[in-house]
Amino acid sequence: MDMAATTSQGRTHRKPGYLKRGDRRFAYLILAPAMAAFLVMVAWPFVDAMTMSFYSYTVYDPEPVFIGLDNFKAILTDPYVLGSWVTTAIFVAGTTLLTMFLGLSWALLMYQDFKGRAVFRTMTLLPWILPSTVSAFIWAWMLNGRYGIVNVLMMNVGAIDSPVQFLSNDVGAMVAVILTRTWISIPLFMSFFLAGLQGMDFQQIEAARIDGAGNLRIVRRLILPHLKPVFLVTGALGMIGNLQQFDIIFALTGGGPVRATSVLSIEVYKQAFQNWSLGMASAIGVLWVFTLMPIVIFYLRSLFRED
Amino acid sequence: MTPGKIGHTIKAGIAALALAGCATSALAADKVTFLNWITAEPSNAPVMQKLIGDTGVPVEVLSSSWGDMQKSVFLRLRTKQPLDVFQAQERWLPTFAQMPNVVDFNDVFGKEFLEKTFPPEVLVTGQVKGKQVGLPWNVGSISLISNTQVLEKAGVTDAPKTIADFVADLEKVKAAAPQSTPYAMMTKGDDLISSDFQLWLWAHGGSIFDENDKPVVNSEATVKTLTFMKDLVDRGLASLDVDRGAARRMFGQGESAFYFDAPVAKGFAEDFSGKGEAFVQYIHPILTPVEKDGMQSRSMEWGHLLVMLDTDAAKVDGKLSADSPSGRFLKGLSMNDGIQLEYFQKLGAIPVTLSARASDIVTSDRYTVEWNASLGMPKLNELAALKDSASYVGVVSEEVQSAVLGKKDAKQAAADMQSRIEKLLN
Repeated sequence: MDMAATTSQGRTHRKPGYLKRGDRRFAYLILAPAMAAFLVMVAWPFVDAMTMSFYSYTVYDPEPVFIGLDNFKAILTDPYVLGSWVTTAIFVAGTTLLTMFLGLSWALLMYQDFKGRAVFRTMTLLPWILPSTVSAFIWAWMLNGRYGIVNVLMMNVGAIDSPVQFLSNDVGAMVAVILTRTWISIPLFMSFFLAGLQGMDFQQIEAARIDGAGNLRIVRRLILPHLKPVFLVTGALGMIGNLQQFDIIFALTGGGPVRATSVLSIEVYKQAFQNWSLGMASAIGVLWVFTLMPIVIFYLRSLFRED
Repeated sequence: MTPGKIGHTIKAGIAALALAGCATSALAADKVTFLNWITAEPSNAPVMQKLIGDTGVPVEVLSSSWGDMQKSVFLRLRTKQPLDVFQAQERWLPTFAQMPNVVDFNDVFGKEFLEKTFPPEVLVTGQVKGKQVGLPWNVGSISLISNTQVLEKAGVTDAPKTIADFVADLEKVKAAAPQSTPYAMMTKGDDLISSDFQLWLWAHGGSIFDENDKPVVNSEATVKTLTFMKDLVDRGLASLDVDRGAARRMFGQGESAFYFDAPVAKGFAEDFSGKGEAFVQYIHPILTPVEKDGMQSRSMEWGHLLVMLDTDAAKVDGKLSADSPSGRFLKGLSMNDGIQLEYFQKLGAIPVTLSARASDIVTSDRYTVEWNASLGMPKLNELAALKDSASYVGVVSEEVQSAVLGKKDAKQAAADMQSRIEKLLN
């Protein structure tokens, strides 16, 4: 069907997105490198992993053996592996909510006009610039049970009598990975919120103040509604990023103690590089993708809707 | 340029590439690519680099930490990166032996020659299903070692014979130095936790499998072992978050009086103490204490082996040969007495050849004599020979940690360990 539509007046309009043949060819040409990269780097490994998930394949097996859905059955009947979904949900929810709250709070502070604001804004980016593994090791040292500075400070102020092994108990380890990931993500979230704030009509805030509105009311009635689209984008991006998180958790706790921080990415790593079961690792990876999919679809739909 | 000329240019290019490929391959065959973890350890790297140089064979040395070693080997092989020889822990050998291209050393050096060179108990550590897939490099045991400087300060003069004596000694050390961790028990790292657990399980008279390879870990001995390990942590006699690296540092720096390690512990303790070789007077391997007097004390068989791959560097005229670069390199590291004895003197690695072991340097060494006396009846890591060993190690480690952290009581952890092992076996 022709992409052009004829109006009652006989004039021809092109539908949005329609390109002339020459333009279309040029569009395909400039799209080709990105498509090639996508096919090689994303699509092919994904299809390969999908295929592998139906096989039993360890590194010392000469050939993969087709086992149908057995890997998926094993995952869905293993409470230890299934627990990774719960752990992932706790980590993603905790990290995303905390980062949004602190990112917004910090953006509101950085939005104020004060001396040295530019320096503060620049320094805020530091955790984001540092390689995440380096940040994880810094936090691991700070939280170390024998010589970590957190223990020293808490003992000095009398909060604890003896050192606490933060990374060796379930709650401490989960709090540590959430805090570290949050610390790294705050600059990015702050930038989003700050950009959103800068699009606000400042006169609205001034008018509200003249009408007697306090800070909290201004945030609740003016700023939060204005930032709603930013919340949607940062929320979706944050959840996607946190669902994919691996390096910080691996460097801090390795998924332990006793799977307390063993999120899906760690489970895939353990199956692939500790148990050497590439088939099982692929099956968990496939289920992990399906876990991510609803959030990605929501994010993409909201993006296209804006367009 | 005419089409004919273009064709000639392409042909010339292909020929040049082919020649370059042949040249690279020939060069690669002269140089042995050796992956190991000793050169990844700052304390040991300079000595090992020198010993590798002493073999006289050009070697490209690749380093990987002990924890990443299996992964590094598999990934290099899967991605077809050069690898001719690599170092292996004895318990990884059943897994490595299943890979293609692993050489049987009987085909390279000859079975008779190997039997003349190495003691049988050393040679057997490198054997899997009748094949000599590992060449002994440094073979000893995982034994309990004590720091007598710390113990003497606490008023302890005799090595503990029973577990009750051991705990009493730990209490004395803790009383003398409240900030210390008297026993640096492995509480981090699946491999290490399962290894320490097995040593104490054997000391309590238990085992994971019986003589018919049936799992028997849901036992009173396991419950006693897990209760003992948890009690040590709860009372501050052992600590969480300790792996071998931390334990070596704690031991060398006088924060701990005991921990389990291999003979190379000596080199680490000397280094971390800051006193160098003078510190060896305080390092004493001892028999692992047992639950009751008269029970058999056990250590865990342990060894560093060298594995050779069937690559160009392993061949002369297309055939596996002891005179190939890989063959000469391995002969140098493993069978040259000068190199073996220097490794022993500098880092405490017990030599593997009959002739080096008979040397005065070894027989008159107090540390080695005590080490040999600390062996009791050595036993192989029970999880090592299992196919998919890492899964079993993970299960044992998780259940031990669950008990030590109080997430499960000892009985539940023992029962879960048994049922999960049975599930893996099926």
